[in-house]
Amino acid sequence: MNNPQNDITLVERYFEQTLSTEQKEALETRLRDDAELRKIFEQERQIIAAIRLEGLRKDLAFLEERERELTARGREVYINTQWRYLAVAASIAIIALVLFKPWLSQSDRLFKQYFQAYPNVFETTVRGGEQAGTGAAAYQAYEQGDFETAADLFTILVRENNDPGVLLLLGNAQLMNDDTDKAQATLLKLLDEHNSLDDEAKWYLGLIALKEGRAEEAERYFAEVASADNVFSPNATDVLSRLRD
Amino acid sequence: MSDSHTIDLIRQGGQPELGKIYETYRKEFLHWITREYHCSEDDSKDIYQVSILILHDNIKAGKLTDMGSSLKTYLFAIGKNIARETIRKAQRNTPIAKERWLREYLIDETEDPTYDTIFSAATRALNALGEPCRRLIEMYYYERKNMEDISIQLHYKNADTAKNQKCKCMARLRKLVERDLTETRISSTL
Repeated sequence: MNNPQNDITLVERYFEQTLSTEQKEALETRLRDDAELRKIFEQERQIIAAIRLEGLRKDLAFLEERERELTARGREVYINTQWRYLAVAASIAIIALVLFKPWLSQSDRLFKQYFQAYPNVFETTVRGGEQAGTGAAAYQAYEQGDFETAADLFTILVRENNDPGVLLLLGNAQLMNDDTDKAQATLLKLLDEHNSLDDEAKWYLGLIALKEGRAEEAERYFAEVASADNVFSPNATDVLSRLRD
Repeated sequence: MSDSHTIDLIRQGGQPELGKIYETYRKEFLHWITREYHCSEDDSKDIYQVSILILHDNIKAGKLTDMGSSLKTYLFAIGKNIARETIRKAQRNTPIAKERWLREYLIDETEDPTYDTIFSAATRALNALGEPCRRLIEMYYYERKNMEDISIQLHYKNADTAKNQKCKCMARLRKLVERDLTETRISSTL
């Protein structure tokens, strides 16, 4: 007859791994047929599992805290890096502003001095039907200084009739509306798709480049206009000499 | 640092060494598990934490003294199993918590459901046990400290005293478990 207290000690030593090979084998043999011993054995196994789970829980909590620290540190490094990049970008911007400010202020002054919307000298080129109504309204708006309405109506006209005069006025209306990108696209279209009004287109494209601070491009357009014999040549020569001073 | 050196440090150390090994493989593991199994950032971290704990426990248990593969390979293999199993169970809409993974690592879920009752009773009994018993048996069964180290850390006279104390603590814990199981049986018959 086995004493339960002896069996508990035996099982305890089994899990401590302090039994000899023979004692271990003997216990495992008994476990197959002895229900009472099996109960003691399973209870001990579950108790040890519960103890170990408590230990794992503590270490898991420790790792979770460690992870929070590492994540926070990672964010801090990221933010610091971002600030460093921003600081570098800001420094570059300041240096660029200091270096180019005189040129920018001069080019802006020149743009304001020389830019004048091209006069409507094309009204008679638009003829007939619906176009006549839209065209009349467009020219009227242009002459009255309503460049937003003029730009909208000239855009409709250009879709129906790709006329160089309408393109030039549309580009000017867009420039008056401070819609520089659209004005440049319109004037480039005029330059690319037509053989007339090239000098006018180049003059205004030069002014747009001047306004946008693209010095080399502005000088190139003005040089071309200056070398040609047209109404803008004197002004182009004048702007060039002032830009090169 | 070589794997054998890392293993020695972990076997002798505690949470600081666990923290070090956690940081060692973290970046590479998270990158790999996210790429291979399309895990979210949070899921990747959960899998990594469980994988590291299992690796750590296996090292403590002396199962990784003579490895055929590197520590990293072993760690990634644990992570791979967890990720695959998580994906498989996720398809059955069964959310897997970290603690459940750790419990599955300790106890085979296919076992007799009555064992689960004993396990729950043991968990409650452990909370009722109090110090220094609780700390002593945790050091012995979880941290796998020897009696010499336990006697030094818990200020016992010697290893034998610590061993006697450990036996007494376990006897007390068994009684608490028995009492809990009896109370559970009584309340279920009412």
